[in-house]
Amino acid sequence: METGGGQGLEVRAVELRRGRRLLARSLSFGVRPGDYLELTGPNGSGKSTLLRLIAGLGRMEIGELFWNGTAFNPQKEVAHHARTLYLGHADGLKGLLSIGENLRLFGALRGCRDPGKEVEEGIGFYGLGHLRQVACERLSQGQRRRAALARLRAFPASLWLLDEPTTALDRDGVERFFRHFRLHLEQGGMALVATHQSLARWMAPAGEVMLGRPR
Amino acid sequence: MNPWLFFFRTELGVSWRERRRVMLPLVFFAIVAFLFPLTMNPKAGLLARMAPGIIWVDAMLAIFLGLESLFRHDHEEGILEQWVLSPTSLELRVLFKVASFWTVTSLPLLLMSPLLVLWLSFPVQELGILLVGLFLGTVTLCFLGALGAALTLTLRQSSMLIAVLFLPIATPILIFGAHSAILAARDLDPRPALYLLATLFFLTVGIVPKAISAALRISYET
Repeated sequence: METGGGQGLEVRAVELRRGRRLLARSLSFGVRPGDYLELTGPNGSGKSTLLRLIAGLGRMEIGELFWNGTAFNPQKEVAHHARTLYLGHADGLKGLLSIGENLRLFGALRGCRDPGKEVEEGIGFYGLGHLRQVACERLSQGQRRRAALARLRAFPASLWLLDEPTTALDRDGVERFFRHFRLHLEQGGMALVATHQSLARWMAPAGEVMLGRPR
Repeated sequence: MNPWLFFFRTELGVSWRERRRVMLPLVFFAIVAFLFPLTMNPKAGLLARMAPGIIWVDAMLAIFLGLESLFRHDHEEGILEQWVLSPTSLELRVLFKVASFWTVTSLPLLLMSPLLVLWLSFPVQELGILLVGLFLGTVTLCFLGALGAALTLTLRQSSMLIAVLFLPIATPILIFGAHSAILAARDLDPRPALYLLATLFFLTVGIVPKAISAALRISYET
């Protein structure tokens, strides 16, 4: 890894812990615009923990993150939150609200003044038009996943941090996701994807970050 | 529409959709308050002297009952982590969230209090003082309670812990709140108690959203 000057996200010498247990020591890798990395490893090896750390949900004790060569604190940096979208195990949808309302609410969260058009684009891309009015708690898991992914479509961000994005998706859903993913990378986007099933047969990653067996 | 207004309106809309869960405690406390005159010695003046206390304890309990679920659903559905990661201000979002919580737990009680005042034979001309005190006090209680809810977010069986955190903090506000109405009913100057409530009101509205945000952030640092 070069020091400084590198485009995109760089992770340098990060120590990964869950509670007191050490999961990985001096983890270093980088993602460049237009690339994505696969994050692999057995259950409990810290894939989700690493994604959450980069997103800004945990305190990083040891290690540094760089964006285009500049160090930043993922918990504090507002610009980092604006350019990053994190999708974890929870879909982040309010059960009592419909898909449309949820997406508009997410737009408000991102500070979007009138997200109507973007929301329609996201709903249309993931084929959710006929479910627009249905409360999210009545949707199937796969449909909720689509709605969560539609958020990425409606409100683009340059860095995606995805935790098992294709869980519960049917074949059509997976195809839509990869069409979307390809567009994202073509436009210079970046992604870090934690996954058990290799995504290589859909789209080859630029590299793989392998986390070891938990100690 | 302004994103903050949209957020506030959506929060109210969600409460409206689960109004049975949100509103039932209020109905319950209204009934409890209405039972007092029926079960107590109707000796002149006794009820009127107790009225502020009854109304204030009612308000406090209505707020307390809602605290446990204030952030819980948002936490379980993964909404809160999106809040923490959003580029917009978490403090302001917390402020609007608690404001919507106040609107569904306390505002109905404030609207109901003219009826309660009549029913408990509290001097009607002092209703204004009672309402001002209730407004300042319930907002303060909502923010302090929300802090307790945020601190205990990731713990199991947090409701007892919230009670232990919240009730002692709520006590001074209850004392001064009820006292302001009692002073007014006795034709004494209620302003010292109200000024104190107002001070607490501005302090909590100014500081507590920051503390709640910090508590929410910390709860994701495992």
